[in-house]
Amino acid sequence: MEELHNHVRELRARDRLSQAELAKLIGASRQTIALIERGDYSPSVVLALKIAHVFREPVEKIFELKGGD
Amino acid sequence: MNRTTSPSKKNKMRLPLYAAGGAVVGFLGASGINKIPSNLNWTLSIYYDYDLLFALLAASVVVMMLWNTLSLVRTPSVPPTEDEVYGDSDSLISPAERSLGKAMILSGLSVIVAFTWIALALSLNASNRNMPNFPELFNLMNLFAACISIIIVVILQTLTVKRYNLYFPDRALDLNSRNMKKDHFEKLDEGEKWIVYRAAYRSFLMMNILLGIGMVSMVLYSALFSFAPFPIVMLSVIWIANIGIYYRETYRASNQ
Repeated sequence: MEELHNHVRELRARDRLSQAELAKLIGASRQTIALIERGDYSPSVVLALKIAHVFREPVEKIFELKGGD
Repeated sequence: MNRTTSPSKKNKMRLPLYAAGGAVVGFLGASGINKIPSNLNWTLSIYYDYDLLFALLAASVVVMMLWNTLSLVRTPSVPPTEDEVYGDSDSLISPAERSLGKAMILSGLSVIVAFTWIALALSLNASNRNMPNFPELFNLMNLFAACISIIIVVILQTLTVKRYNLYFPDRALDLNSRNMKKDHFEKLDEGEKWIVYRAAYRSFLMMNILLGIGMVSMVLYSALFSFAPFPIVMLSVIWIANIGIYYRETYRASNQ
């Protein structure tokens, strides 16, 4: 089964943003950022686009499907 | 990330439980016990009727109130800034928020136990006509203590919610609102809502299991003590409502 992986943590480190700062920028809670980074929660398209906008990267570069056939 | 136990392992774990249940039912059936001997005391009493039951309830309320207070004391009155607390950790909540969460859970539980106490005290008061060992003074003291406990737990809950609102002003809880939980849910973001959905689904699954256990317990109660139709009917109504609301919501969502 394919699973969604993300590079939010790496990009956040690159831009020197804390979880709280990123959360504030996209209008979410810090808990949601932590959930996404841990891979426990797959964000909605809207939230993924907001994250991509903050990092100025295409969505598919931040979120990708891994595994499966 | 796969933390779930495999179905075959789960089934194997259930087997001893089923075997134990079968053994109990088989034993009761084979032993020919129809009713518990009347000289056995099942009223949880030491001096007065049901005094041990109320003592256990009172002790639970007191322990939870003290624990709640301790958790509140451990929660700083001024919330630390997020970066100070979490840094880059993966943790969803800070130590202060964990203490606050504990206080919230304990205040909720203590309110439930205190209301159980007053409900039992009131129902015993309403049905104490045939109880020889149930003096009026004990009855009144029990009712009075239950009322006092409710006042204290409600005050404690108000203080706990105030502290919660200080930590999360953007999603403040309003105890006076009839739609407190609904309003609070609307203020959550999508990740937090996902946590609530998952928790609610697990609670729903557990509720179905517990209602089944409750019904079996009532059948056992009827077999050992006396026919108890009302609790069985009540449980079935709650069960129907639980399942009915679930299907209504799924049906609504599929028709939108």
